[in-house]
Amino acid sequence: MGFLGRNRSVITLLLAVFVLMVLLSFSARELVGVSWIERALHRLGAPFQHSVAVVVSFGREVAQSVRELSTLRRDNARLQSELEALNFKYQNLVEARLELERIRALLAYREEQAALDLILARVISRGLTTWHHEVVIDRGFAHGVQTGDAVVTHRGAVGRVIEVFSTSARVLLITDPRSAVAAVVQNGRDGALAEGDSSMLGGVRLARLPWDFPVAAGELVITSRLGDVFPRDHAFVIGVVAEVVTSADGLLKYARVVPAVDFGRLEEVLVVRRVTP
Amino acid sequence: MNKATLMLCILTVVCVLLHGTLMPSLTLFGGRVNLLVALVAGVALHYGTTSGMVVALGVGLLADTLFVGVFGLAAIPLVVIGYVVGLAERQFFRDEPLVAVAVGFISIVAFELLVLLLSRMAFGVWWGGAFVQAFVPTVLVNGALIPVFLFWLARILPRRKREVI
Repeated sequence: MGFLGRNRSVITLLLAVFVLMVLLSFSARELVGVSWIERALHRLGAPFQHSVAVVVSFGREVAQSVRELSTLRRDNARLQSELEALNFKYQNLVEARLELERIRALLAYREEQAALDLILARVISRGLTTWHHEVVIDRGFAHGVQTGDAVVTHRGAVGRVIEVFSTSARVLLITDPRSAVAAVVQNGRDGALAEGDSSMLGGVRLARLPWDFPVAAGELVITSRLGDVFPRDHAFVIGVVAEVVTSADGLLKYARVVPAVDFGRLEEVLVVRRVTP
Repeated sequence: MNKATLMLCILTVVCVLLHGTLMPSLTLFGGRVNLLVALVAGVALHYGTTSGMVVALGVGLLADTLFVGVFGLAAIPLVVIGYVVGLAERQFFRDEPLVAVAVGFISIVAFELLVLLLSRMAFGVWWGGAFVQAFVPTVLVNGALIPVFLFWLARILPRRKREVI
C-alpha cells in the first residue's frame, strides 16, 4: 500500500480543511477582507497571469496586424499616389509662382515705360547650336511684331527681331557675333559698337576702340540714342565692362562686357514696337 | 504608309521640336544633346544610306525653317552624316557597341564643323573662340549619349531591310 493508501484519512482531512477554508475565506470576505490564502494564491499566480496576459495581448496584436496588413498596403499605395499627385501639383505651383514673379517684373517695367509700346512674349525655342545665339518668341506680325523691333527685359537689352512669322518671330541676341548695337559707356558718354563676342560664348564686346577711349572695368554700358535698333529716347542696359584688353600694337583696344540679361534663363521678353508715324 | 515610315515621320517632328525646346534646358557643362544628329545617325545605321539621307533632308529642312531661317545650314551637314554613316553601316557590323560610339563622336564633330563652315559662308561671321568653348562639351556630351540613343532607336524601329543599291 502506498503513501496515499496509508494516509488516506489524513489527506482527505487536509483536502476537506483546505476546501472549507477556501469557502470560509469567500464567505468571510466582507467581514475580514482578503484572506492570506487569497494573497498567497495571488502572489503565486500573478506572474503567470501577467505572462499569459502578455502573450495573449501579443497574439491579439499579431492577429490584428495580419488583419490590417492588406488594408495598410491599400492605404499605402493610395497615399503614395496622392503624395505624388500633390508633389506634382506643388512643383507646378512653384513653377507658376516663379513665372508669375517674372511676368510681374516685366509688367511693372512695362507700366514704368508707358511711353514705349511693349508686347510681352515667351521664348518658345532656341537656336540650332549652343553657339548660335537666337531664340524664337511666340509673338509675330499678328500681334504687331515687325522685323527690326528691339527686344528687352526689365534687366536690359536682349536683341532684335530678324524674322517675323504670323504667330512667332526669330530674335538675334546681342551676344551673337552677327549682332552689333550702338552703345555708350554710361559715365563717359563715349559711343562704341557692342558686338557679340566671337571669342567668348555668351559675351559682348565693345570692339575696335581707340587706345585712348575712356573705359574701365565695372562701368555700365547702355544702348545709344544713335542706333536704329533700340528706341532713341530710352536707354537699355547692355552690361557691365569686365575687362579692357589693348591690342599688341597698342593702337586699339576692346572691352569685354558681361551682359545684364541672363540669356541662359531667358523665358519671357518684351518686344518694343516701333512707333510708325 | 508603312509602320517604319510613319515612325520616322513622328520621330523627325518630335526630335526637331525637342531639339529647340527641351534640349537647350538640359545642357551639361554647356553641351547639349543634338537630337537631329542622333536621329539621322541612328536611321542611317539602322536602314542604310538612302533612308539616312532622306530622313536627314526632312530633319534638316525642318530645323532650318524653325531655328535658322537659312535653308541648308542644318540640312547639308545632316545629309552628309546620313550618307557617311550609311556607308559605315555597310563596312562594319552595325550592332557592335564601338561602332555606335564612333558614329556618335564622328557625327557630332562633323555636324558642328560643317555648321560652323556654312555659318561662316552664310553670315560672313567667324565664331572662333565662342565655337571652341561650346564645341568640346557638345562633342563629349553627344559622344557619350548618342550611342545610347542609337541602341534605343534600334530597339523601337521596325525590322530593318538591307537596301539594295
